Parts: sequence; structure tokens; C-alpha cells
Amino acid sequence: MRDGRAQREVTLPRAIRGFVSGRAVSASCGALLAFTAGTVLSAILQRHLLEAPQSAQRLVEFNVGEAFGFAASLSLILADSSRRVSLTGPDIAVLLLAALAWFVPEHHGVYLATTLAGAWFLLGGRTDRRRADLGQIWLALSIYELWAKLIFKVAYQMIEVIEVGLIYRIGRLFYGRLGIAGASLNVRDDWSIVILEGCSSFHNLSLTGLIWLSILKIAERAVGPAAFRALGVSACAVVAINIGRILAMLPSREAYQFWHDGAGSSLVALGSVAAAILPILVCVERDACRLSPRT
Amino acid sequence: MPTQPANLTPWVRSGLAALCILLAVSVSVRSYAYWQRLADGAPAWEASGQPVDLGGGATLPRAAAAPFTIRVAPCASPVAVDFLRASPYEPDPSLVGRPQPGDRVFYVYRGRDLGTRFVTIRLNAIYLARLAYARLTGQDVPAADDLALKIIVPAGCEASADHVMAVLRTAYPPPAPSALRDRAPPL
Repeated sequence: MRDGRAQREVTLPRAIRGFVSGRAVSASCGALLAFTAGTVLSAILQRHLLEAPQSAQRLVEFNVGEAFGFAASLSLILADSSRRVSLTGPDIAVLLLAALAWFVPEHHGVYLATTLAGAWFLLGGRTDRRRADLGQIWLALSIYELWAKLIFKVAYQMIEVIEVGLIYRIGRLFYGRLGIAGASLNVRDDWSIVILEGCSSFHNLSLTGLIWLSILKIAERAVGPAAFRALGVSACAVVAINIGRILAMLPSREAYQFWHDGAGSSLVALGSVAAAILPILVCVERDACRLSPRT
Repeated sequence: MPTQPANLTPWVRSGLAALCILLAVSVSVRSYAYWQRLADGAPAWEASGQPVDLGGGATLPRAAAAPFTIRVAPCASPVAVDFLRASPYEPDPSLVGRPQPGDRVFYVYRGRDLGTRFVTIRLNAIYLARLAYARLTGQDVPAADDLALKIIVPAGCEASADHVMAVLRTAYPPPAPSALRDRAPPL
């Protein structure tokens, strides 16, 4: 009986444990929850109500990134009451100031809110690990949703040259007649594809980083060599999947339509997400088994 | 077990209430904008067609924004002028025009010399800044399709970018597009 209880304590998610223990959510938790949910909700409403329709691939990627960031935030906010973050007056002021970014009429810009609040919590969290963790997640979310996209757009031509060169080198292993002209690749004289922003692995890599950090925080694991190895494996797998997709588009228009607009596009998006999740999940589970062999 | 200091609790509760009010207002504003858009239709994102700003108050009609050459006093050969759209989705500026070895190249935006290093990044940053400004100020037609100038001064000529721009500002009507038109894609 005692063993069974111990097992439940280990496996039950921390957030649910906080609720089932019957303790009311404190005002600090409420404020942090309102801020996190408000930021994500504002970005989702802006994107779905007021901006261009999203393709299936982008829909999957955006929702997964937000879902992981949100879940990790909830996990940290609703931790056991002994480890919950307590807010001070300046914290509340910063959260309110950051929440003004909810009104930015652009869904990436809404994440200025998590940038400001995340930086504040991270800088002020030297003595409180829980605050620092929350700050890291908010910053990772804002890097994925806002800053990585901004940096990519600013340095697009430079990144494109590197990426197209890499695809060309790998592609020559599979296509003997692979030709390159600027950002355009071809294996036939009458058909070529141009590598544009949506084809880049850059955003998939920032998504991988966010998922990696979120899983580590949810599982309460510290960042170590094994975790970095898992991140490296995920990053390589995500880039390989993207390059494979682009090379698969080269032979014909039909192949392009399948991998760019059709079911192949969603398949690649899901495959990339799986490649981002599985290595760190395996790493975390293996550590958990080592820590408590009986569970 | 850390607990909320009693003297802070009213502040935190007030903060929570303020965050909830902000969230409700934010959702209401977006819902209103959505219904407004359904009623009026989405604004069209068209090119603004605004003239090219040459700096110093001078402008060039958008229709005249095609590659041309112009005579500048100290230069034996004409100076070539090309137009670049400031955007991450346009061709690499270094590929526009055909400077010969020894030619000097200047990139000018709104009369300001952008230098020659990291021009692409600077043009992209200008595009994003203008796009962000257009979004924040609620403009239906984003003024993000500005043009920058690429000036190719032939080898042996010491004319500066400012000097060429001064000549361009006074050249009215603007020089007709020349045979150099085929050096760049039409804008």
C-alpha cells in the first residue's frame, strides 16, 4: 500500500497534485496564470481572427510551440505550494507593464510581453530557482515566437545562402544532375524549386529548443551533458527531415505539391515535432528510471 | 514553506484583477476588430505607389523608378542608378546592376548613405521597422515598399554618394530609363 502511494506521488503530474491536494491557488499563482494564459490567448486570437489563414504545417508548428511553452509555465506555476513563486510589488508592476503588449496588433509582437517578464524573472531569480525557470521558459517562448523570426528575416539572405549550399551538397549524393542557381535547385531542365523562408530549418530549430527546455522543466531535470546530446540529436534529425523534404520535391511538380502543400507537408511537420520530442523524452525517462528503479 | 507576505496580498490581488481586466479588454478589442473586418472586408495589401524619397525634400515619381544613367560633373562615364526594394524577399542587392572592377558602389536610402557593409541586413531592418510602424499605427496599406538606390560610380571618378544625390535631386524631370533597364528586374 505504501509502495503504491509512493508510485502515485512520483508519476502524478505536479500541477494536478497541487489541485488534488485541495489547496487553493494563491493570488500570485492566479496572476502568473492570468499573464501566461493572456499572452498565449492574445497571440492565438490575433493569428486566427485577424491575420492570414495558416497552412496545415504552420498551424501544427505554432500550436505545438505554444502548447509546450504554456504547459511548462503551468507546471512551474502550479507546483507544490512549498515551491510556488511568490510575487512582490515590482513583479506585479512588471507583469502589468508587459501585459500591455497583448494589444500589439501582430501575433509575434504579442510575445514582447513574455520577453519583458521573462527577462525580469530571470534576472531577479538568482536566489529562487523557480522564478529563474519561469523566466527561462517565457524567454524561450518569446525567442521562438518573436526574436528568432525577426533575426531570420533580417539575415534571411545570409542564412539562405548557407542553407541552400548545405542542401546542394547533401542532394548531390542522391541526384547526379542536381543544379543550383542562387536559391534555386533543379534536377531537370524544365522544373526547379526556389528555397524561401518557409522552407528553412531555422524555425524548426528554435521550436526544438523550446520543446527541449519545456520537457526538462516539466520533468524537473537539470540541464546536463545527456540533455545537450538529446538536443543535438533532435536538431540534426529536424534538419535532416527538412532537407529530405526539399530534396523529395525536386523530381516533379506532383512531388512538390505533395510535400509542399499536400499531406506530405503535415507529415513532415509532425515528424519534425516527433524528432524534437523523442530524444529529450527518452533522456528524461532514462534518468527517471536510474533515479528510482522501483518505479 | 514560503507564504505570501500579508502586506503584499492586496497588491497581488489588485494585480490579478488588473490583468484579468486587461485580458478581457484585449479579447473584446480583437473580437470587435474581427466583426468589423467581416462587415467591411479585409483591407487590401497593395503597393503604396508613393514616390521615391531622395532626401532633402526631393522625390522621384514611382513610375520613373527604373534603372537609368546620369551624367555627374567630374565623371567621364555616366553614373548608373538602380532601385532596390527594401525587403527580405527581394533579390540580393549585390546582384542588382553590373558594377565593373574598380567601380564604387553606394547604397542610399532616403538620401542617407547606408555604406557598403551589411547592406542587405540594413535594408531588411528598414523594411521590418517600417512594417512594424505601419502595423502599430493601424495603416491599412503598409508603407513598407520603399525603394533604396544603388549608385554605381565608374572607376576613376571620385564623386561621392552625396554629390551624386545632389545631382539627382536637381535633375527634373528625372532621367529617362536607359538601356541599363535590362540590368535589373522591373520593379
